[in-house]
Amino acid sequence: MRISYEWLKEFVDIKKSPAELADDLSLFGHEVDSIKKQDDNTILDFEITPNRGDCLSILGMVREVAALYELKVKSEKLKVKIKNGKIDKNINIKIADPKICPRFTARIIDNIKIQESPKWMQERLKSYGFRPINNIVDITNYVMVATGQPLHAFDYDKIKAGLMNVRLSKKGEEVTTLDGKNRILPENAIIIEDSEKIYDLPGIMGGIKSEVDEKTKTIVLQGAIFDPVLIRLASKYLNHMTDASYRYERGVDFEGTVQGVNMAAELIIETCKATCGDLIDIISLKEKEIKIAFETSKINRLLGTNFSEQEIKNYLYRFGIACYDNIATIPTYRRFDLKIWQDIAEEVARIFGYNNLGKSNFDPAETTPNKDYIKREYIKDKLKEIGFTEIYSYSFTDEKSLQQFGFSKNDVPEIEKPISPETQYLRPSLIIPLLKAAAKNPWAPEINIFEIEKVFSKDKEWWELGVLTSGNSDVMLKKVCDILNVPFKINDADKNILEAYKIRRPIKYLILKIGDINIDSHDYSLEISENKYRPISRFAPTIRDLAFIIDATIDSQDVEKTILEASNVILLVELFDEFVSDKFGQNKKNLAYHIWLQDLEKPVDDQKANKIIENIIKKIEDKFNAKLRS
Amino acid sequence: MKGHLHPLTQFMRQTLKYFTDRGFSIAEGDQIDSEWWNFDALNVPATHPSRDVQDTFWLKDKRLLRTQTTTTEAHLIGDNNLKPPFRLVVPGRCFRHEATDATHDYNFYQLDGIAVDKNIGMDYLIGILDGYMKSLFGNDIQIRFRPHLFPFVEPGLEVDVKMPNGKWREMLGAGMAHPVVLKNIGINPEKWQGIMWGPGVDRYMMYKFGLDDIRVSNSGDLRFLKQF
Repeated sequence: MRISYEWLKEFVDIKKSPAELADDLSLFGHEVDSIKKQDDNTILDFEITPNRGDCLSILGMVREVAALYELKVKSEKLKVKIKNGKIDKNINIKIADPKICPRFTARIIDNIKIQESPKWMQERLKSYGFRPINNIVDITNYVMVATGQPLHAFDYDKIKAGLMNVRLSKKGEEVTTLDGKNRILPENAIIIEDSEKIYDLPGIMGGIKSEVDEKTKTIVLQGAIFDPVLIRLASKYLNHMTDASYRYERGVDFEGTVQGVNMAAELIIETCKATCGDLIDIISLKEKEIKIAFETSKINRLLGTNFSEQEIKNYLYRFGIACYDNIATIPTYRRFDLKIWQDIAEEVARIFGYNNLGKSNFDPAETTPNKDYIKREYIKDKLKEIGFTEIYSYSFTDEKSLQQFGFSKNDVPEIEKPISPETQYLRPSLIIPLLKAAAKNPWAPEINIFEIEKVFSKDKEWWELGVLTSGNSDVMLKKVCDILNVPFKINDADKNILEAYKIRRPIKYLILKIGDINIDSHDYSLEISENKYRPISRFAPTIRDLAFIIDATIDSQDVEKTILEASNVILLVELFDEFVSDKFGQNKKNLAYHIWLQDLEKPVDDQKANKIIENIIKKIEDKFNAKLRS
Repeated sequence: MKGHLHPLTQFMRQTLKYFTDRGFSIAEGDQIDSEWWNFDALNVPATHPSRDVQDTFWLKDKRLLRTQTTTTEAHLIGDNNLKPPFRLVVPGRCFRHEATDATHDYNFYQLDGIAVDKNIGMDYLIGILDGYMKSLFGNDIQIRFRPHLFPFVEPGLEVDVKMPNGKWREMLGAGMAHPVVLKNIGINPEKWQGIMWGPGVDRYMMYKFGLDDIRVSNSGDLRFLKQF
């Protein structure tokens, strides 16, 4: 919600700058996303949590600022003086069920003139984000932003016999709203009708059939309370959220309707010399006062504090919460979020400051090792040791993939409203993502990957291990089976699938339920890479292999590091072979690397690759007294 | 030649250790759960706007993909009739039905924590989270706690950390277990108090490794995976 700092200052004497205020209010529970200058206003953009409908106005934020800084709200600014005129017109309000509209406040205003609203008001409306329209619409919007009370103006002459029958809709009834849309209503939306037509969708949007236009002479200015849940359900059903419905579903102050209607009436009279009728205020359902019993010791136990009873009462008083003994009386505008003593404790903590609360540390305690977690992590470590790289992939899959891999879509859970075809089903097996990952790495000299995550059937989910390797050899997967102590049973990827994924090499894989793996596991590595991510190029990498004959005592990682430093075009240096043999000479070994080259801007061509490779050879030969193995 | 573990695997192990060192046991549960455990049990009624905050993948059979590991935490404690005092951390994959961008993806990882005891107050919550942020970002990092609304806690808070660019960045949500939630998981709120928190760990991992796009994490691209 966008709030003008200058507008706030009219009602409370803020001494802080907009930036300081934004910081302080953020720590008070109203996060400020941005501060912007617009015309003569400094606009703070607040994130108001859904429980704080009372803060969706200047007045609401003024109350918070006043509580925060222990300031007085300049309430004289809210005083309204209206001289009632004589009006010979009447409305006949009928409320079908008090619950749907506990309070209906209105005034008939005669002899109005539709014109532009004053410039100052237009600027205020723009600061909030409203487009100025005409004096009547602008004033209702202005007062809503100022006080939080949604208001609506009806053209009196369009309402037959002044009848305002407030009732719940029947399924399929229709109303055309001010945006020109004909809306087919669900059951239990709140509507207003006369003997001929439904002409309003109150709390959400006005109806065309009672719209104020340039010929309007008389209006009914209405500010009411509607049931939050009914407004929410209808607004959700119609997929139509407005500034009014947003406030109503969060809760509008029962005691704010008269203030809202009067303030708007005064502005209308002022701007177009209209005649104002008597206040109509129908309370069909009186709201009960909310009282919360609290105990000082409980609040202290919850917050880890040591406040005296008086301190707590003083803090609460700043929010307009009066306490007698240990009973707190909640202001009407706070009834939607202050319900239990823990809510009161939060108010105490907000005033005291969350960052001023103490910090305590846990005493040590025994933990129960999670065998399933340890087992999975242990398996990951073992696979890594023998050369497999772990992938993560999405839990979703699409219909086409299910078909290709021979799964029936009737056997897997289906998403009701998928974001895209790719998120329509939950994957029944890790082979789908593993094969897709293999297809994504066509350039990799060899692919040895695995994943451990959940897979799904209609009525079950289970942890699965999928392992995939490229090439004709069974050696890698045989090692996996040996380590995991499972029977050697591998699959060859189907030729048609390989073709569909443009994978031009044989693929073998293994799929196991983690539950079927019996392995003695008790620990896993806590090693963590210190590398920082280097972005990958949208161009395919160029990969070259290099092998050196080198002194057996030299650490392969030192060589790797030296290669990596040779050029910033080198992304990865991957050791794929290391063995000592006398055929290279005494105490010599062979080190072989895949060298992955990439450029973020363009492909790495042969000429460039050759130059880098030459440079690497020279460096390694010089530094380690090595020989290129050709 | 050795392979590589996904950066999030490496990171998750280390970050779990912070909590297991402090007496928290690791618990896990299902990724598909019911509307009751994901929302109602956590004091998020269908009729309240707070429900809108979370975009949910619903299944055709009316179950859903958990939007948070808090769901699993509550479900585990409720189903197993777990009696306090206890300390749990619940890592796992969660899901949000929202458009993806560099910092949001359909599936992501959370690490919920809960401790229930007789006299465990907000000071313990702030203490453990302060330490956790320091374990992630270093001892010199600036940390602040802000009031915030999460329906399953009261009071609720968010934790911000000051980034190298001087801006505060929101890191996680937390609070004192709401009495309705305690009741729903079979714990008497008159006797017991609980602290709860629920960070998304992907962004910590991104920070740790300097990753600028979360979607790379799920790409299966070896040029990414082999860097770590």
